[in-house]
Amino acid sequence: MTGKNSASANSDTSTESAVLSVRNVDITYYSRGVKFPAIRNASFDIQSGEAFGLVGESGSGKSTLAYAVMKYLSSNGEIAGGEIIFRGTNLMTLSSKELLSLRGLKISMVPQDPLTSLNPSHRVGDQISEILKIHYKLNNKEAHKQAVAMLAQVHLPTPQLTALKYPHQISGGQQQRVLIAMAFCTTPELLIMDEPTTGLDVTTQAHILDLVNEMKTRHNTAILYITHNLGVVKNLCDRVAIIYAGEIVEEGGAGSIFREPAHPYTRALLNCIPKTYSREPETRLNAIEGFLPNLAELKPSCIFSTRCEFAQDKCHQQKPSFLEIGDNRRIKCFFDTFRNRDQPVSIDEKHAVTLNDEFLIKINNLIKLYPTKRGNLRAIDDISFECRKGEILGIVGESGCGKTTIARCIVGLEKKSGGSILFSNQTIGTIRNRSKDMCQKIQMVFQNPEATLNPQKTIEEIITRPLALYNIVSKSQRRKRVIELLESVDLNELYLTRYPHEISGGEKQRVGIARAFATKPELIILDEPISSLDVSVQAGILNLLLDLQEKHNITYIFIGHDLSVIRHLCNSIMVVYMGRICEVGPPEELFDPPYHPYTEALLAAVPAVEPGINQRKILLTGEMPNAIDFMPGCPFYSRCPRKVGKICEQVKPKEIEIKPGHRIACHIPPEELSAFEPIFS
Amino acid sequence: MCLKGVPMSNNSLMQLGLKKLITDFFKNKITTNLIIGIGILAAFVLIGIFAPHITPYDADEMHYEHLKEMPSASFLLGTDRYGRDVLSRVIVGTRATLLVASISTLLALFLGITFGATSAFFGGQVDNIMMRINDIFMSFPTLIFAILVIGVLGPSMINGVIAIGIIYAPRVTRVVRAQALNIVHLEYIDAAKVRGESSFYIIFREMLPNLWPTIIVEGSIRLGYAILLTASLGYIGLGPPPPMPDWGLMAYSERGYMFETPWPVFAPCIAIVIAVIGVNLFGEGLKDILLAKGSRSKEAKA
Repeated sequence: MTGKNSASANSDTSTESAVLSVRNVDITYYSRGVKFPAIRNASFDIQSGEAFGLVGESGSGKSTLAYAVMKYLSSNGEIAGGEIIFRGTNLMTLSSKELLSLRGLKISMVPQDPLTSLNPSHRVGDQISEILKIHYKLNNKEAHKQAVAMLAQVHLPTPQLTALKYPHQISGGQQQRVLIAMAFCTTPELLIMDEPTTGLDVTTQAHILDLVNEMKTRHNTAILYITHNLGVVKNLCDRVAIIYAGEIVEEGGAGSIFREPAHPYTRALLNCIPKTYSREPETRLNAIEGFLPNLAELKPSCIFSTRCEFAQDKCHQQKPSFLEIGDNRRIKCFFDTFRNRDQPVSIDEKHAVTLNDEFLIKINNLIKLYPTKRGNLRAIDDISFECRKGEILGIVGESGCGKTTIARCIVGLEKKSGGSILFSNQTIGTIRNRSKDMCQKIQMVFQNPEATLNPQKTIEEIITRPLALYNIVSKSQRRKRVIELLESVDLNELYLTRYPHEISGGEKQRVGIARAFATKPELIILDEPISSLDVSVQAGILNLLLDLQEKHNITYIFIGHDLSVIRHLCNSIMVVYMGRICEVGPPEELFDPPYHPYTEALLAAVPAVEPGINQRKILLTGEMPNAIDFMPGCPFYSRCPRKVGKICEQVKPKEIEIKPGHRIACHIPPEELSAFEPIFS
Repeated sequence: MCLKGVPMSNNSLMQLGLKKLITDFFKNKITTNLIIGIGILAAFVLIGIFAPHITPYDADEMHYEHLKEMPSASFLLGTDRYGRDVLSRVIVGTRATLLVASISTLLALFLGITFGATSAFFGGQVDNIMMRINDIFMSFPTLIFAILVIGVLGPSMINGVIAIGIIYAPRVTRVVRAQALNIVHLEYIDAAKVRGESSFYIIFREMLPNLWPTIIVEGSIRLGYAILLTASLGYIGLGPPPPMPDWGLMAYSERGYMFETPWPVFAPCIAIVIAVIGVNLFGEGLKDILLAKGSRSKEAKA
């Protein structure tokens, strides 16, 4: 393989100073006697004080590679070849005892899920001092002192008190800070971070990234950062490697990769992401067609050739080696000519849809309380809004803001505690009190593709059921209609006999959408339907949703936490915080001042991918108030960087209409809000 | 607020089902336990079905010249105090015991599935009330409760079935409800509700297929207990009335002569032990297949 030569030639020059040098590593998994070469010939170097991003979609092998660096693979995987050199020692030759003294001391790791990574029955301070006791043989008192000092370094409020708390007593962001403190307490030379911010809200994520950056500079640590989020990589990393189906396809400086992606896969990946901010007309997203190749049956061709839009005969017959393209970058491709080629752009006509003046759904003073032992938890606190026919309304907010509860109240899965919901001027209650007719008109698409389909039913049974229940087409026509529905979500009749576990997450979500459309509804509520899917799959589903909406002139309420996705899809966006509306407005206006201070903070925290965009950063301080206590004022007062004064805590802000359809609930006068410096420029 | 939490660990379980069971049967997932269990069960079932045709003698025939004999070539397990062939009586007794035990298990499963799944589906106060009633039933010692039921209804095979069925139903209810609670908040159940399905449809058509693995395993464990309880009832004289041979009754009526001829007591007891072990091995084997979490092993590496 020629790739080997160029790879080692490249690393020879820099190995001396590299903290970690991964050379031609192959990793194989065994499953039921079948070999899966999960990683093939991976090579990269990380210098000290450098943040190296390893980016790939699920199944690309990025986590496998990271765990292999720690020599910590699951029992059915093995490093089949290559070298992993850490500070001059080849980790492959070390015994497991020698590795133990290295792990946690010189190499540490921040895992993905903070809650399951901390032991729930030990105080967080003790969990940090345990590491110090093992590696430095400190006594209890000294270890505890150092642990508290570490907690202070990661900016946890009142470190002495936090050290005595149990993991469940602190928030997810704070848990992740504790894990970062654990990782840095031995001042490691290499830190591996496995999607450390994936489960966190954008505002918390911004904080954590800021902290990682600070710790990196302070301790001059090399960081291997694994993620699927290109925005995060762009904002944090110095160098980036893009990994696809077990092969690194592009490597180079973060800035230049995002400015001019050279490998067709990198280009395609960046094109999948909706723009966070742009004044140009919306373009259609370019989904990547096709699937990951089956690793058990690899062909001697370019790994991406089956999905590559530029693929030529050569690509299907030969394996490309690395091509140096200057600027310390290399790509695994035969050609270096795609860099400057313009992506075919198709203008989306979604925004041309004329909206009906008729309100399809009107929500008045909706309240939802959950009784708890200490009082009522206010999940939805007096929310009113309306949605016109053919409109796509987006609801954004962080986790726990009540957005899903709003959705569940509208479809009738939850009983509302107060207020009213009017659908076509009829009051609707919970599902048990609804007429069958009403159930048919409101459908929902769910968040988790793994749970949205009954695992014991075939795709045909799943989609036929709503048709049979409402007798939408006659019995003989049902199969034909099911195939039509499958085709409308870009699937085909081959799927009829399959079970949910035989299809991918994106396909499950498409079946879920087809099922929702089967009853011919007037309103579909989409509860984060794409948030657990890969970006390349997300783009396809977003395009599909827009096409279907246009075709059937249906109304959507789209719930999400990703502002750029919502911006791409919706005609109107509602920003929700702690069960209250902060701001409602069309996307063109929401992304420019006047902002609600919370909207402003959310926008500032979004990791934007586009090159050449300036994003002002805002870091929120303060804690979220307890939703059980009654809040007389604005719920955002405790974290608001633009708090006016006592009035914010005591008086509920009125919604002020800035322009028709654009309302902000804030005590700051609109003129002042308009004078804010824009986040994006 | 955060109502969408879905335990992903359920996945391996949810996707396993009857269809998978059948395909796995032909792959090498069958453990030795399961094979032995199936063998023993199959042997008992065959013996039960063909009992009158394979006995060396008529089970009720009294051989007056061979009273209380030890095992010999003509009477493989000896004779009892009336000179009846013990082997023949054990073979014929298989039928009654297995019949009562298996039908009562089915009854317990039917009641347990209905109450368990319904209770989990409706939740809240309905669940609370149903579970407290269930607790009351569970708090009776099994044998005393059986004596109570049969005391009211009178001893007969059918009443034995009813008694055992009612006794084990609350235990099945618990297990089924626990598993149903894992399923009831999943999104496909929500999707069915949003679609306007009836509660009956959701419980029996959406939830039930995903409960089968649990139900099958629970059923095989219950069958073992039911055999024991059937024998116990026979022993205290509440089983099928004599002269029908019954393992428990045989052990009871011959116990006075145990020191002279142990076989009339030992033989039915050994039959009970083998049957229960067989059923338990079968249940364990099924559990390994149906409820196993996805195990990663290097074994298949060769």
